[in-house]
Amino acid sequence: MNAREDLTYVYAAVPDTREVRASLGGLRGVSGAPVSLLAAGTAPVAFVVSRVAPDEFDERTLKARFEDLEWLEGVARAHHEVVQTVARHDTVLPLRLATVYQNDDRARRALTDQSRAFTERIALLRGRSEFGVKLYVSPAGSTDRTGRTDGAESREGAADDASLTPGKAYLRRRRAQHSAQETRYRYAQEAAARVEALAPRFSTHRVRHPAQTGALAGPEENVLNDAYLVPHDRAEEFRTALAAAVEGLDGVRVEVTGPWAPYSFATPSPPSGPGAAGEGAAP
Amino acid sequence: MTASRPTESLPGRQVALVDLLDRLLSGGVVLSGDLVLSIADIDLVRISLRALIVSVDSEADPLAPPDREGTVNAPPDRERTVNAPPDRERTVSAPPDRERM
Repeated sequence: MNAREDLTYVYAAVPDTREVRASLGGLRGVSGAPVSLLAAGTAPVAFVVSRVAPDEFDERTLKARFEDLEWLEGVARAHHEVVQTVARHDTVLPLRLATVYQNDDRARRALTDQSRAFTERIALLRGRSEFGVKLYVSPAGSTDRTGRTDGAESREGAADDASLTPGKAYLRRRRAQHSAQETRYRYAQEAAARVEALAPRFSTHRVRHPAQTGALAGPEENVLNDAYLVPHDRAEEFRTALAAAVEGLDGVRVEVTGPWAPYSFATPSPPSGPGAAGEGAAP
Repeated sequence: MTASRPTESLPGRQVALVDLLDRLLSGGVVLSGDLVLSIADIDLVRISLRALIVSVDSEADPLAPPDREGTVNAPPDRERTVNAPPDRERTVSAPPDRERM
């Protein structure tokens, strides 16, 4: 097989319908390549695919590319755009980023092998979207996004500072900050408990992602990073309930993202084996 | 069920890369066999991107009977405690912050 031939990049599995096919018209994917549907015989599901250049997506190049955040972002956003576009028309089962086959035939073989599992999974996901629910704690002594200063801090910190030596005033402020921060973590626990309590009214399934840290995560501390699967017609109520859940909890913010295609819920039941025991089965 | 899907509700707003990578690097169907490559095979990701994103480990079935996991501070296996230190890279002991940005 000539290594220069284009490879087949697979974005998602979807029901093979006329509407889905129509939705792909003019759509561009990774590297700007046109996106199409790859069917396998009479299977009710098809792959959403495009061609990618082998010199960009062979194994060695890819490993290097994954060190390159700019490149990774380009691929991730292109992948996401394709998945979300299809998701507007039908239930989509997204594939892991950078799933690449040697050619269409090999991708088709994989599709045929998995067709039944994909179909079942799509049926489970139908009518629902994924929503991200994140809780943030703002650092003590900071002002929140509305410009308010933290209530606890100003109450305790400002009290008769004038009558103290600068050193004592400083220590007192530090103590107040510290206790304000503890209060915020307590509030965050409370917020998380409220989210947990209300979610079953809207959602049957949850996946916990690790809290976001690091360079991309932003200045506030993320303490909860969950994904919920919510029926389309309950989404607005879900948002409203979440916003209400953090009311009165100073320094804690809830952020709802989505609707997402069900990325976090796409994995079909893994074959039993190491690591298949369930959530939290840490290696 | 195809009417008014709420997928349009982020008009013009780009999703945050960190949220996207959470999903694209740890979510999505993982196929095996006959692939040229899938990100699931790339352990390097755990190293070079771990300062950016940290979720590369959820392989369990999220549609399995729910709620074996607990609240934020419950089972310590995934360090969900709100106060937990942000050290959850288990597979790599390389020095932190070696990402280049």
